[in-house]
Amino acid sequence: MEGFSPPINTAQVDAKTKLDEKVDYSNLPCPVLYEELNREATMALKPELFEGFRLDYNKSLNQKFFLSHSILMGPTEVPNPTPSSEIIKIPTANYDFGAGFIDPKLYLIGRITTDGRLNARAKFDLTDNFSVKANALLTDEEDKSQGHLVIDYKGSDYRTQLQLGNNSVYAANYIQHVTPHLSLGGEAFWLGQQLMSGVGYAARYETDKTVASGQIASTGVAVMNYVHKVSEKLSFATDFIYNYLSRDVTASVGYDLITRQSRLRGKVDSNGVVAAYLEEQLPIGLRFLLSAEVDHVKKDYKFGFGVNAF
Amino acid sequence: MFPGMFMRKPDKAEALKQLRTHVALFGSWVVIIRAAPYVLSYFSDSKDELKIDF
Repeated sequence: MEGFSPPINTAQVDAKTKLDEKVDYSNLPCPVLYEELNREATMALKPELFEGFRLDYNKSLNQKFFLSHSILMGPTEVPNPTPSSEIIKIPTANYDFGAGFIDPKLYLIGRITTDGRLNARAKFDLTDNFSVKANALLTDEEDKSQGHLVIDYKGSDYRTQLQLGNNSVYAANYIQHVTPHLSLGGEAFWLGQQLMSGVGYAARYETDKTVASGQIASTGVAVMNYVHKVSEKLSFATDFIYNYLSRDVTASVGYDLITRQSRLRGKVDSNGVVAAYLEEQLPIGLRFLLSAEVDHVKKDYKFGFGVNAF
Repeated sequence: MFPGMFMRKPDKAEALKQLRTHVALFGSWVVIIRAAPYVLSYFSDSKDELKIDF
């Protein structure tokens, strides 16, 4: 099942061997990727909600090659030309075709959609510690295509990345464990087209049962989140996002319940949005999906159901 | 990820000056992070010495 979405009952927090009372500062663990600092909170609070009907079919051709077919049918929000706050939706349907090659050292994935977009991703491990990733998005809309290259180096207790994108985007980040449970990181970036640069700082504290992380950047965004695993099956998560330049603020609380056959995630946020997402593994090799997102303030109600077939 | 992307475009010289400041801040922070385990290890070892004295 290489290359497919992870099993429903993957543990929320990576199991870790208990460390001795005495800290060995010369043998600190390797941290998570800088861009995955918030991964536990993201997993719990931001599932892939959708509206309408969704079908995903993945087929392995052999150990390394697979094909995927996806259909999504449902309303899509379009910009409202009038100054009204009402939401306008039109019915749409899309088919995606994907092909992938998965090897321990190399993966290549491509997807093309009927609305004229091609998405391609590649990752190559040059050595155990050094890897290169590339992403590309090609569209038929003018000036909307993008390319992105990431060079990733993993040391014994740190990770660092250099990123290059089109439109003269450059970024670098660094993250390192300073104690067995605490890692600190930073990033700097330059957006050449906007003649704008920024710097960011991050911290992450993790134990067997909890993960807490925070980030702040000179662009004005501060993010904090906390995930607590109350049992093998149930985790609670919360996050707080504040933009101190625009004074926007959002807080969310949610849960992630994992049982043998299903996974249920839900959240409520301070903008009045209530959401839930259910994945149920059926014995015949199908995964049944239910998605719901209700925004009472905007009066935007989204309900979806779908099937994953392997 | 870059919410300030559409702010007013500043002067290029000023932007490059700000970029140097941001890169210097990033580099300093990396140095501090890099040094932290050594400092913590030093104080941790000091505690051990005290324990031995007891």
